[in-house]
Amino acid sequence: MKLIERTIENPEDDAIILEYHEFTQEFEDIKNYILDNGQLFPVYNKEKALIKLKIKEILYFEAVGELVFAYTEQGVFEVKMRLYQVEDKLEKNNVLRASKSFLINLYRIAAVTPALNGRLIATMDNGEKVMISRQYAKIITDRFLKGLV
Amino acid sequence: MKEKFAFKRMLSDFLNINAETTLSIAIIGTIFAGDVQIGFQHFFLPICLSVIYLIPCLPLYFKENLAMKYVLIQRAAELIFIEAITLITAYFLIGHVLNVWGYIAIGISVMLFDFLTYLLQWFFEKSTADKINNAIAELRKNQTNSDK
Repeated sequence: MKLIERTIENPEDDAIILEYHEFTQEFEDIKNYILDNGQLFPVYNKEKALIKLKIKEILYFEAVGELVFAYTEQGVFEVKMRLYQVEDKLEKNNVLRASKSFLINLYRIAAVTPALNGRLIATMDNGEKVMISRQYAKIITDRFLKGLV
Repeated sequence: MKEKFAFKRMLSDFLNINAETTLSIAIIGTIFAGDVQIGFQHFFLPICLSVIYLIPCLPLYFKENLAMKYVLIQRAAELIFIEAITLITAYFLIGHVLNVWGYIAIGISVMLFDFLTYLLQWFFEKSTADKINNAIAELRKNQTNSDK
């Protein structure tokens, strides 16, 4: 595969052009990467096949024992990483630690209500509720109040 | 990090309880035992009581996600504990000048302060939650506009 770059005069004509003889998986991956601006995350479905989910589709991550799962509106997927690794990778995408076992996608929180003892209950877009512990409530609050990027 | 966070919370609560205890003793003492002579050792009383009052709060500091039911049980136990310690302390300190109404006043004031503390805490938490919800609404509105 050749890589061709050229500069143009008009910034409004900025474009990425894919030229292919056959639209293979490689080209599809490149196309998806461009369209989603790199916002894809690898997970495994029930058939243990590797798929890539858009980060914005993931509601939250949960660690159950040694396993980590990504929850979306379509279903649950296994993640082959430890929770802290997912946290390091996705912190810049506003997926933050909500408690010892949960990471939460701030973009997918529909509403927040106060719970007892300084905790918050986040209601996700699909209606599920995730508890944000007191230790992490401040960090999440600050991220919201400073404005999500 | 969890222990450091628990310690900070404990210290913060200790200072709050110390202030509340000092205020309670000052108000109740002034009303019911204004003429009683006390020694300098009594200045240690709010500090000692604050340390004792922290005891029923220990599960909250070290158990991260206590279920709602257990938080309510903990709060009820905490209130009963605080009432008992306060009334016993009042008995030993000013029991000779205190009548039944004095003990009732102490009991009610402890309950009132406890309730007001949690009410204030809830008010601030609700305010924070409202700010977050406003931020979420603004974010969604901007996303809808950019999609158009």
